[in-house]
Amino acid sequence: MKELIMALALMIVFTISVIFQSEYHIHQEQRLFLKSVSEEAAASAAQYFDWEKYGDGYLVFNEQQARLALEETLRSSLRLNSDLSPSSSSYWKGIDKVTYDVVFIGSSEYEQIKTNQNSVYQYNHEKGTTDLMIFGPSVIVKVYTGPAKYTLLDMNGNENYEIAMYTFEE
Amino acid sequence: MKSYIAGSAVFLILIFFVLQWVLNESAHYKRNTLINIVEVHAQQARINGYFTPEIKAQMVEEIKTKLKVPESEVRIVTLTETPKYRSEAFNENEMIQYRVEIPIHKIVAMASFLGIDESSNSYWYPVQGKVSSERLIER
Repeated sequence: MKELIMALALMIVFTISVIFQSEYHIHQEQRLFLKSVSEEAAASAAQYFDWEKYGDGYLVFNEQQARLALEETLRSSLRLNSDLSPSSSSYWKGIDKVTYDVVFIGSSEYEQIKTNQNSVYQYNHEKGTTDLMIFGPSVIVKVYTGPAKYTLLDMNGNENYEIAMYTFEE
Repeated sequence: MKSYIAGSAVFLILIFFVLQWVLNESAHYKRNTLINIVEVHAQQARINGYFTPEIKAQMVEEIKTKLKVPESEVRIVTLTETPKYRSEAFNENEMIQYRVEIPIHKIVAMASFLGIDESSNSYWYPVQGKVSSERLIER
């Protein structure tokens, strides 16, 4: 009788571990995909700048068009609806709306950073401050997608976000 | 002796968890590698403005060698094969689309022992997205 109870307890532990392993793998794949999506979002946002001023040597970003491009990249790759809420085929269903934060560092802002702080830009968000080395005018995007899907074990506080930067190197 | 006989019957049940762990790892490797392959080739397609036949052939070749999926089973649902151009204002139709699927065949271990047939034990895993094009319109 004792062996039977031990065996049942071991079966429960094995089942939980196998299910957790597959959920963790899926979470890791989605994080990898999110990293490439956020880098692509930064790259497509960096495409929209004033062409005439670029010919004179100044990079001034067109923020409105850049945001449109960024949102469309996120919407199609992460399978969101038009107001950035996750659709039924998206993985990131733990959040009402995927939010993003974008920082445009044009030529004039880059000159300021270079003189003040030795090419290190401090990006502030609620989880702490990230220091990014900046080598030229850049676009920094942070995408926040919320918690991942775990069924058996309660993984509280596993918020997923990615910070990506696209730089025009000088 | 009695416990050996009972042990060999229980062994069949306990070996399921080890086999399922191994299948999870191999499916994870396939999915991860597919995401890497498709994303790298999508970045190459951004430079040209579309998925050229060379990029497409190289992507299918890499999937064939690294993931051991025969060419007939790589399902390319959507790939932009006409050039898309970069413009000053954002245009949603000028983005390069891709959706590539591969089948993952063994989901559950010991499927015939549990009464699951082969067609239910596989599914198509997609990698889908849109990237922006960097190609300028030639004047």
